[in-house]
Amino acid sequence: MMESHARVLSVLRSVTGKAEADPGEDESLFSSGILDSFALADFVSGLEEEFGVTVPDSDLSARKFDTLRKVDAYIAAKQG
Amino acid sequence: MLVSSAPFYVFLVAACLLIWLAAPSRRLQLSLLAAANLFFLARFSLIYLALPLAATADFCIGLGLARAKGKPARLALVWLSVLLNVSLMMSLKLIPMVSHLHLGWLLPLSLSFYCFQSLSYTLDIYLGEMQPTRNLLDYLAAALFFPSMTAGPIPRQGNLLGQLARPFSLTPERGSRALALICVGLVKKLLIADYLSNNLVGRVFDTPALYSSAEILIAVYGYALQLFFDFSGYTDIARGAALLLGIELQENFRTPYLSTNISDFWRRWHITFSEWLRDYLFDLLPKRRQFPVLSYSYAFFVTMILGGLWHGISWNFAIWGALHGAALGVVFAWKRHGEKRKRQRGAVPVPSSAWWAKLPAGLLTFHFVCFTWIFFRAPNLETVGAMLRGLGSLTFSVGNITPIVAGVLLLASIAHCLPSNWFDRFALTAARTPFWVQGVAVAGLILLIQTLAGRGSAPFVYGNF
Repeated sequence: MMESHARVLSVLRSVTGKAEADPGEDESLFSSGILDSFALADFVSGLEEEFGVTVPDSDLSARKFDTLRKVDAYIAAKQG
Repeated sequence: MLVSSAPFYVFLVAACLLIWLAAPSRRLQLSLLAAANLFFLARFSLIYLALPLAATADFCIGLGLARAKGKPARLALVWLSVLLNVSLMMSLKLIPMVSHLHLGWLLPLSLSFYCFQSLSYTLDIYLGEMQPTRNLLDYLAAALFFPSMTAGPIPRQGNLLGQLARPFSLTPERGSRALALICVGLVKKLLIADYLSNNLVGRVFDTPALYSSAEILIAVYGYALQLFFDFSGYTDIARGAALLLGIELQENFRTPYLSTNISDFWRRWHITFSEWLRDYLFDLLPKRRQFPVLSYSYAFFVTMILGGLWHGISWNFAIWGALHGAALGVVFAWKRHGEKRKRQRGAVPVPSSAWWAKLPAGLLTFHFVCFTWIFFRAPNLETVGAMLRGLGSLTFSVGNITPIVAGVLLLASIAHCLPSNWFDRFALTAARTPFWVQGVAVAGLILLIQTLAGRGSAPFVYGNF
């Protein structure tokens, strides 16, 4: 889980260009300004590449990827 | 009952005292809060006493959504809630327009903020984000929560229900913070927003032909500040009133005129509304990652036009929304293009954080927002045309801008830029001062407001939406 968490954070930093971003588990990535609707598609594509999962376009919603905990849970569910 | 008027504070003190005194029984506290909600609505018009019926319908739909097994049944239920709330919102906007009657006395509240909050409840249950409450009293206390009823901030029903489930508590720190929020809100509304409206903005927008380009430009800047202080003043009062009841409402503004692009602006301006639009409209519109610029631009455009039309059914608001939607699309395309080029060159896109790098973008964003405010404030397109012609006439006299107006504009500009932690420090200092000092300070402030703004308060701009 910790390794997955670090990989998610690495994708997030790479996509947003915010190398110093270190949000808490339950901190909103959108409210804190780390992520926005513009960058969400790239973030999700980065996650697909990193974890080898497929995210349907219908899942491109801010609330599904709003916190690191939600992202971790989403990827875990996709990996089965 | 305006939240900036004396009767509201008599009502607020009475409601808070009763609710605090009922502390041993949470059920009694919730009943009193529900009764206070109804009293607040009835003070606007007795017709609003029918609102609990609509709220009860959403409560039942929530329960139905939890029980319904098949997708068609769930879809039918959620659409029923959407239909109910959108018809309520639209009928209150359309009836006065279509009937050509002035129904302001009969329907002074638009109920838009109630509808947004109610929709967040049924949509969240439908989307699997929350479970419905099984207690109607809890639901009515939250859905009709009076501090946010007139003009938000739009709470998520699930969040409000969660907070109401805990015992109401008022610590000295919380009480002082609430009092500070209310005082700051009153100053913003009565001493800044109303002053700018009465002495600059209203006059210029009423007869733009009488003013020079420079005066019109100053009036547009003035409107940007008036709207911010009017709406954020209301929000502060609403948050303060809610805090007295132990409820934390979300902040709605974060120095919006310091934004560096239009997307940034919507993260800082009317935050609860833009998050609502994002979660329940933009995110639900179909988008394809194969054609990101096209599909996102279309989604931004549709979202912002509908967001514009929510403010009022007119060409002005449609154009205002379309301009913001188009700008979001342009910024999205620009960012993608820039990032693509940087990646092709092997560089990681790193946004510059230096103030001088942000300044041109900040100025461009601020002036774009001010340009769109002309459509937002002007009563019709003829006035927009007159304002734009006036701006284009390139006349530079500023004889109609009095030193006091210039001073208020300067102070307002500085106050807007103050970081939010300054308020937190102020509230903390207030909390540490003896109770009687706080009382004397509040009484002094009320006297000051009474002296400087003796003509009473104008309605809040967003109270009309």
